[in-house]
Amino acid sequence: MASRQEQIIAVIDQLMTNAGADVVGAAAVGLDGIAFASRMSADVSTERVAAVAATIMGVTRRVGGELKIGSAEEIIIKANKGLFMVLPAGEQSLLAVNLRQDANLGLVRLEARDAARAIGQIV
Amino acid sequence: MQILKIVITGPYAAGKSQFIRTISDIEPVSTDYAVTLDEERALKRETTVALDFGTIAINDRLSLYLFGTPGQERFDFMWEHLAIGALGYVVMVDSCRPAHFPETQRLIARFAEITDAPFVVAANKQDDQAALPPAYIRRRLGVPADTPVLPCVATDRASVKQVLLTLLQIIAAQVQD
Repeated sequence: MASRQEQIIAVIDQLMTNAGADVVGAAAVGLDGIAFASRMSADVSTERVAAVAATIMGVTRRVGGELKIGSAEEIIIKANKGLFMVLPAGEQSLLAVNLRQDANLGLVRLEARDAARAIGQIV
Repeated sequence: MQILKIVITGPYAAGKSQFIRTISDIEPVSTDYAVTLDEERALKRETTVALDFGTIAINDRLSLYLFGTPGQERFDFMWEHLAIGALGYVVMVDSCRPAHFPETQRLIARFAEITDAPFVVAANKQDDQAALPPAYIRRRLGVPADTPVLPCVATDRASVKQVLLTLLQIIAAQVQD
């Protein structure tokens, strides 16, 4: 039986395979901001991205609460050189996905949702 | 490698971002924005709105991940979020600004509601002539007897390290109990 971390890495690898080159990197992160499995590219710091991703989730939950629009299902940041997605993965963790600029967002969103669900079940 | 999450908190302009900047092995993550409120601008130009983040390797088996909070009470939802999974926290206070003590007391009370993790108080700016002594600050803040109030200079690496090591000892003692 593969360890929890190996299982999560397998989910992330599957996401990267299914989404093709659109996904540049991905990490599974605890709500405490500490990554427990990551396939981020070498030029980004996983620790820093994990801390920031958890903070994005914290702020977004707050937005959902203040506006009474419910719980966050997906956060997409569109920047001028790429995209960044954060999704809850179960109750205790989240999936952060780094995308290239012209990514097929429709496909990636579907794949990322499946991956986040799978990670949530493993955690 | 074991990772311990530590939160660095305290009221506005206590020196939290500097504390992390001084000790971090990596270039810290900071989320500073220009201050617009006049009363806050009197103290500094930029303020943390989400978090500061830095890491420090204690030895080859243990690393501390430091999460700094915003200071203003209007950001208290970030305190709750950043406290998730923290094994201990540092409450920083500016030793030269007794006007900030009531706010610090409220922050200490709020954190005690948020988490059961142990904490130390770091009485910052002890290199300033006007700094109040840690024993006086302890009394004014009503810090529990078993919680250390440590002299601190957030720009001095040895001083920051001492604060973190003291907190680590308390965490280790709790784990053993």
